[in-house]
Amino acid sequence: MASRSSTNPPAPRSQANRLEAAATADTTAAPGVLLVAPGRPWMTLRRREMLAGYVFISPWIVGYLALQLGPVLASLLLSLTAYNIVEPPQFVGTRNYVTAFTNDDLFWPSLRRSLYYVALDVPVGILLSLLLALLLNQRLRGTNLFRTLFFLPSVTPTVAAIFFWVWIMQPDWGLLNWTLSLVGVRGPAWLGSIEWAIPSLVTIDLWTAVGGTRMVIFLAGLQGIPRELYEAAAIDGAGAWRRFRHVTLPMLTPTIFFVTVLTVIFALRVFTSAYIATGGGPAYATWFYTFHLFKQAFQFFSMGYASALGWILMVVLLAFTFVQFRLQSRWVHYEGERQS
Amino acid sequence: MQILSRRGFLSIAALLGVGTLGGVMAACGPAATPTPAPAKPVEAPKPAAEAPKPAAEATKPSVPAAAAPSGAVAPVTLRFNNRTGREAEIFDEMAKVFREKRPNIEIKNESFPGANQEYFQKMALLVAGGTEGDLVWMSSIEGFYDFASRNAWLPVDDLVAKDKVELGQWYKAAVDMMSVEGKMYGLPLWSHPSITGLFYNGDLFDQAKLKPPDGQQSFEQHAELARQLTKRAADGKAEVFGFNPATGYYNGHGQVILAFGGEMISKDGKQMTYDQPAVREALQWMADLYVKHKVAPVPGTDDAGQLQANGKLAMWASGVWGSWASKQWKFTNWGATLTPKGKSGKYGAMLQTDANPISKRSKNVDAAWEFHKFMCSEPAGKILRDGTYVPSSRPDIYESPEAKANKGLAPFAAALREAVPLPKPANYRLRELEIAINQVMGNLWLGKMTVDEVTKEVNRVGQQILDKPAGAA
Repeated sequence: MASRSSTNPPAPRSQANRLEAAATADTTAAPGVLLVAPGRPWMTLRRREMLAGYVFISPWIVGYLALQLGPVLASLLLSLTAYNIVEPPQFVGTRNYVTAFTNDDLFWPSLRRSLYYVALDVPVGILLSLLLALLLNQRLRGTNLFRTLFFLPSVTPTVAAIFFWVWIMQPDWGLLNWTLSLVGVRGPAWLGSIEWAIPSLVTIDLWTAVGGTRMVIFLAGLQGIPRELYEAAAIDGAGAWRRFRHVTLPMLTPTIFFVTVLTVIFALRVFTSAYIATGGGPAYATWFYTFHLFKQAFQFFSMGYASALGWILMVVLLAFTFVQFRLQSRWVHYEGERQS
Repeated sequence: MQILSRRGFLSIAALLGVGTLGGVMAACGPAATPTPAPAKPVEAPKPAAEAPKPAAEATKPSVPAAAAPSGAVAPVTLRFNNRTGREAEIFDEMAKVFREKRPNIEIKNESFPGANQEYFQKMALLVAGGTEGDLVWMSSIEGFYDFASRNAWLPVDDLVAKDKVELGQWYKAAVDMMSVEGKMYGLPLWSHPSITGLFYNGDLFDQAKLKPPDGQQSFEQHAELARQLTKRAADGKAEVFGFNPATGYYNGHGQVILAFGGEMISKDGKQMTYDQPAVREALQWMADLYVKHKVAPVPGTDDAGQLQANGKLAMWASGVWGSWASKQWKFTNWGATLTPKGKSGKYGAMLQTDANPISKRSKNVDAAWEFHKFMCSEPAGKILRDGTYVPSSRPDIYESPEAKANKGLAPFAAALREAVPLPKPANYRLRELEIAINQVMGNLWLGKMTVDEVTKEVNRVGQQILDKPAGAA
């Protein structure tokens, strides 16, 4: 596999030093500006930018350290205990992990269900979001209206949207089956059907998510593609499809990659719709991995075991992400990089 | 030095996303639920001598709890944890009436939102953090037994004996349900005989020229009635359903099992019993409603309230709260009776009793006990009967003229007389067992498993739960 490097390779060190020196040279004289020691200046341009960057992300860092890192580490320790939250945790070593892999009837099926959900939700969701972004990128009259309409479901409160769809998918008097009956089709029980329950939840997610943040990211990616590339392609005689195939798509691959990684992560976390619409049923049909984790933690109060499930999921997610990163060099094109 | 590339940025962003997710998942839970601190060991019970001693606490023998003398407790404020909604409103009403007799005891209702699951999560966290109220409303299915077995509640045997509380004023099964491992953890607040009510739309019976059920029908007669009341379109699809049974373990098919003479679980709470012939017969009767007769809507997909309200359902199983929902119905011609009697000669009534146990950490035991007694008394029972959907645990309330005049409530008195205590697993994993059984049973209602297959699977899955150690771990 060919490795890639930047088409604008970093300047030689001597040149870089000269640039840094140039950037800081006059600061010694400017009033109110940090004075630097003769020789190598401490507050270089790069350091200033780095400092500014840290200042900008500091709210997130503080929040992460204060509110998330502690529970994360605590859950790692709790995963090695039997802990019902009322009594103190008891150390059990790796028993929870062994139980998950060997003695929990719901562990593997729930993981499979989550993966099935991902397999349905991610490709269709990304494709539809991309299609919507392409439509909005046409700069036609009424684009702003359509952008708002597409985005609207994603700002609808999740619970309200799910209840809305539960009614639509109601098998006996729901709008969906009624519509199908008009064309002579007898619809399934949707959320009440073992076979259709997960596709139904995928449908609900697609309705709420395709026009949301994912579409906006794609739209930003599309609008970041230089117009000159399209002009050059047009001059070379490329039609709309070829421009899309050979300009848009390659230039958008970093965005597609980014969106894919995040969508997989979010899809594997599927929980809310199952919690509200199906309660994990019928007959465990929507008993997803995170649902299993939640039940263990917050209804059966097996907090130690639930923590172990959380860390197993963490490993699964890391594995997924690692594989995607390994594969990205085969299809992701970064502007400004070239093959060496 | 090279500035962070886009690839690098995306890599870091995605990895941080995974890391953050891991954190969220590892600490997975409702957004508003804090991660609990490790629980302190539950404090040892305070010696009775530590509690403020009322000057004249003695209660006369056989005097109802509500008639306890007033002014015996030093001024205190009691914290009472309960659920928002009608229940909280009714507890407010009770507190007002109570304070007329006991002005020195202030009741601070701390009501928490959420359905059962969310409410009991909250209570578990409060107990874990040692910050629960002096009194805590608890459901028999959710956490009453589990917490009692962990010494979270105060045993009241001594208080009952001291006040010579006449336990015969409540249903015996309800009193029995208040005991865990030989200790009594409260008086029964309210009870209901599970899903033994049968409500019906009188208009649909009139249209079909059929006589409504009277509580004496057999299961076969009931199924036949449901068939006759089901109306179908030309394509065979039901437009009006004859009957909507309840399918749950504690609220639903469990009552049918009991009516057929089966057991929901062994008497010692350690063995599954779904291989009993009576259980299989009961489940076959229910499965036929869905799969063979097709007189019932697909479980889990129909909001029964919608069907009732719109006159699309002729009969439905419900509990004592059934008539409460009648306010939403367009039709006024409705009635209520009891579900069929089975081979056992009974309705299959199983008691569910909720309580307001006193926290073992309470520093106001005497005051809490006074309010606890009041909430289980006849005057409080009248407030419950007239203002909410589960009227007390008292025969004198369920059999009162006012209850008999309530057509939605009156039939349940007969069910309560025969009701057996809720059969509970020896390890108190009630909800875990219920959820597992309900999920597996879905295969039967949807026609994906036969009774043979489903009973074997329920026994297998249920036994795994019964074999777990007591409580969660």
